[in-house]
Amino acid sequence: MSPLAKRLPRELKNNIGKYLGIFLLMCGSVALTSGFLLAAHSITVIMDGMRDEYVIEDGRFTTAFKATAAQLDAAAAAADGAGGATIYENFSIDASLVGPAGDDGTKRTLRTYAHRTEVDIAAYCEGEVPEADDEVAIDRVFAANNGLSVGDVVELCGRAYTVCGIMTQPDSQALFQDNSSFTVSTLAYGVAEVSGSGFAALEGAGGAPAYVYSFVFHDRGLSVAERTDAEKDMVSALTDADARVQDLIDADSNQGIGYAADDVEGDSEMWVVLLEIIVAIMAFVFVVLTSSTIEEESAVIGTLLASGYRRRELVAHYLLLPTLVGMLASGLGTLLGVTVFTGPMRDLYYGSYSLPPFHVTWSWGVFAQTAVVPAAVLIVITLIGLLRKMGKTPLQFLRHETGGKKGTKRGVALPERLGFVARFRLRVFLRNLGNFATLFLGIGFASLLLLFGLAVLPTMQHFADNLKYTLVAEHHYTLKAPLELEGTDEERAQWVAVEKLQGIDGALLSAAQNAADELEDAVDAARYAAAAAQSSPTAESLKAAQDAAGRAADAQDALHKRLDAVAGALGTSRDDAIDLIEKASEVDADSDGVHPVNTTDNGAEKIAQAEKYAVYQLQYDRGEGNGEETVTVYGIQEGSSYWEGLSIGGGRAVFGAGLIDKFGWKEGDAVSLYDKYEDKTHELAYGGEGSAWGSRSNMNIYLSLDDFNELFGNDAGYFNAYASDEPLDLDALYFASETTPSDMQAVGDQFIGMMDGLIGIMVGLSVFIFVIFIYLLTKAVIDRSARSISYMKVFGYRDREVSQLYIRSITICVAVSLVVLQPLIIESLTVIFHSMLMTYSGNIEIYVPWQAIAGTIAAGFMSYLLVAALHTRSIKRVPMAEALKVQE
Amino acid sequence: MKGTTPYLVVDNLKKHYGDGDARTQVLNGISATVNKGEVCVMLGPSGSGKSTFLNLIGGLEGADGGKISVGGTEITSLGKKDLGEYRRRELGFVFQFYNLVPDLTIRENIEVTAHLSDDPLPMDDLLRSLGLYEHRSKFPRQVSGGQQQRCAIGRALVKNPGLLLCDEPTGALDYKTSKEILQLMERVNREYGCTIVIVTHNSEIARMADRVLRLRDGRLAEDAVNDAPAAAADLEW
Repeated sequence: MSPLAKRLPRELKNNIGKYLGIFLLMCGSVALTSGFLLAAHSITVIMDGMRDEYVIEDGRFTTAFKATAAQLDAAAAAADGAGGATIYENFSIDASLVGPAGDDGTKRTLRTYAHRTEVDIAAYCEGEVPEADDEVAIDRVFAANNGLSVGDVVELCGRAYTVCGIMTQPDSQALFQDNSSFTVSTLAYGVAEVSGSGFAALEGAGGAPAYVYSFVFHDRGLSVAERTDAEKDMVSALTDADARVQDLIDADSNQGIGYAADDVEGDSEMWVVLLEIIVAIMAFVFVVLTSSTIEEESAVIGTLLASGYRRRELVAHYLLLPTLVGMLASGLGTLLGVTVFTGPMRDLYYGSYSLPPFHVTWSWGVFAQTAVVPAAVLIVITLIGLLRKMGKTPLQFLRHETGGKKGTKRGVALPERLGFVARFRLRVFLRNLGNFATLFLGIGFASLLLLFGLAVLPTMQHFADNLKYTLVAEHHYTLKAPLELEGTDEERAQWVAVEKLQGIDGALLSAAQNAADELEDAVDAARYAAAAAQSSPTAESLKAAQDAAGRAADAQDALHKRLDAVAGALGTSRDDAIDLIEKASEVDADSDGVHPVNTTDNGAEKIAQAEKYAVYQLQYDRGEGNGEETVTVYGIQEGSSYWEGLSIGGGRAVFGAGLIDKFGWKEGDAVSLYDKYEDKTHELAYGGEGSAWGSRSNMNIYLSLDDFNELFGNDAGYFNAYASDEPLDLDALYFASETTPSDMQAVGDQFIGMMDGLIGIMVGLSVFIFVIFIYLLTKAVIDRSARSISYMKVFGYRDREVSQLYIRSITICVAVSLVVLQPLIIESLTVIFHSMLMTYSGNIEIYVPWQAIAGTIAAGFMSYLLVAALHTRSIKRVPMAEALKVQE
Repeated sequence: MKGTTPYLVVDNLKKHYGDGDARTQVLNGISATVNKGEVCVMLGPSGSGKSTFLNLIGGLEGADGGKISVGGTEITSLGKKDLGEYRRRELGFVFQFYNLVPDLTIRENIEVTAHLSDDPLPMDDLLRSLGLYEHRSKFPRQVSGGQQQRCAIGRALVKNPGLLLCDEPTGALDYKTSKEILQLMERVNREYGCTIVIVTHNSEIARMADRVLRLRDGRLAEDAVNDAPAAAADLEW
């Protein structure tokens, strides 16, 4: 071992702050990253295994009304080309939930399924599968967030259910109430399952089922593209069989199934990048600090080289401590990460996502990423820096010519009018330009983290506000089919009859209809036979007339029986049933221009302020493998009192400002939007600034209702939604969903709640990085100036004056960096946010209030003051003997 | 042992710095020979080219022209790597400002170069010989300038070099300490037989030399052999 190695423990002891700072920062970063990556890897392994273990569906479609067996057969047959598919009923009811503590005013929805045994099978963490009709098993995350546990009694649609189990559903790993939602909702929305009889009881209690059909292809190895093709065929077959398909979601684009995995993957990449940035900066810090040491020890190095030391021997010497620190930090950090931090990191996901029980799966890849790569990056960057610095001749070292182009920095003429103190500080700055450049970068990086941490909440609040303002009315009702609010009492009565009859088994009505037809035929035959007997009364003709009359009487009996069956199903008398049928028959339900009339009269005032509109969702390919953005196209009445200032009509499309911001479309651009249900592509032209509307979170496109119907080939007058400031009472048969601004606020609140814990970590980490960076780099400045400082003391300067000369230069640099960097950081955050969210639905505009900027500057400066206090102390400790001992 | 075998042979050595108007011819055709075991003192005013001459002999920079041969090896034809090996094997350097490693003890500073040799001098003997044995565990900042320079000489000597190059070795020392250092060099030369080239502007030191070279404006103004060198202890200035 080289005798030079003996100085390493002393170097370590003398500069313990420097090495400890780097060690702590690196070890902490590695520990957090390795803990996270191992948790993420384990979760990924669990999620990968779920597809087969819990038979996760390949996709699902939703029909407005319950599909008939023939329609389902047609859909299944359409999948034969892809090897066939099995379709499962997967109906759900969005049941309003009241917890054991009673109604606290918060709207909570449990999407409740009948217990599933063949597809999307739940994983139970606690309790039992529901068997009785008053038992319910509830999603783990929802239960945790709402304080529900096994044995609690809750109300679903006003009916009491006992919580018998806590479970997770593999198709609801992420709790998205709507597949196009921006974020999961774990407070106000959850999933549950009840027994078959429990589901029927829930329906009986007023729950409107969503007719969801999940399917599994027999060939589980189909690619997404192959699956998508087959799914389109299935939807076409359903549509051809007169089913009204409302939604089709392939498992790949089902956020409930894929979002958690994507989130884990995306976060993993982010953590690795963050770690690499920190390690790279640490390496540069090492390079800067080691460069300072080399410059300081230039003459010694020159002497050693002149004495026969090889350059590589000295490089190895200066590399040894960074290598040891890097390896120790990486190794210990990884050890800490996998033993201590895996649990908390798991909780980050298990607190938000409904995943089966966790178990750690070891990964050598994670080990390499955290124990090997950071140390290697640190060593390589430090080595490159060292080789560059050590690439001088022995003579150059002996002459102290190691600081770059001699005299370029120190030789800059400074105007005398600046005064001695200013010039002196400027000299300190110029002499340490490299350190200050690194300090500038370090402050930039730490400020970026800090500002991000401080701006996340306001950004999310701003986003939630924007979402809220995107909803122009207090209530947005989406319908399964057009439903008129206006109508006469007679019309309402007719539609009541239609709805009632639609509520019973169609086979009963068909049988009654057939019986009525048969009766009509029999009556006609009897009349004909009676007329024949009357014109030529023979025994034969009389008997024939008698037989025909008998058959008519039988047909009447048969009809009565059928009508009684209908009446039984309706729970009414035969006469009332006949009355209903007659009323219903007055409605021309099959005519395109005729829409159902709401059976409840909402009153003239409410009806007058409500406004019809239409919505439809199309897909926009984000490009570069970033998936598809769901864009909602609105058909609005021209001169709408809700969507004010929209210049629509005449084929003109108005784009939500969020779309323009996210995709950067320019005036004249034709935007291609894909209709996945109809397999059609529509092109809409963006007409420039005047054709943008709303906030930067508005991801909609607006057309006039006529243009909308023309674009999608709808009948004139088609609509499927109401905007209303007043609550409307709509027929359950046609009502699909209601959205209110407070729902949007809840989404924002939920997201803010999720981020709250993380923000504290982020701000704490940023401040820590801040302190370390500033300490290390400013220490390098002080160390480098130690000799000058001792001279100053010899000349009679007081410690305070010396501190002012040196510390003030650093203070000015830190303050200027903090302020000057802010616009750059905000711009960087905007770019980072933009690229980070490209694969997510929606658009979030980074929103940095002045308080966040002030907070960043203040936190940065406070951190610096702490460091400055330490440096002031160390300046006091610089001995005057330094000046006397070293004479060159 | 002083001999007559030429050890350091310099032939028509040339060196300049700068270009155009700033061109300075530092050495302009220097030729000289130093025999093995001799103490050679090189005198000259500031800027006469003394240090450059020493740097060229030490292989620290390249000459524009001419040849330098040390112990039969023509170092002017050596590549960078071989020059490094030459310094490792053959040379010891002593500088005016000691250039000790501040966080190594006196003993460890000497060990730094002992490490380069397959057959270094016995450490304790050397420390005693240098008068540093009592101070061996101290750090450079804890000893005087003279002791630091002794340490620097020890560091140069410990690998038993053939050629010891000293650039103003007493330049930073007071009279008394300077004499002690010169006496040490005299003893080193006697005991270890190494050839010593001392660059200085102090002409009194020339009295202890076997050979005196005097440089002026890049040319060799004097190359004199001193048949009866004075003892270092007798030098006065």
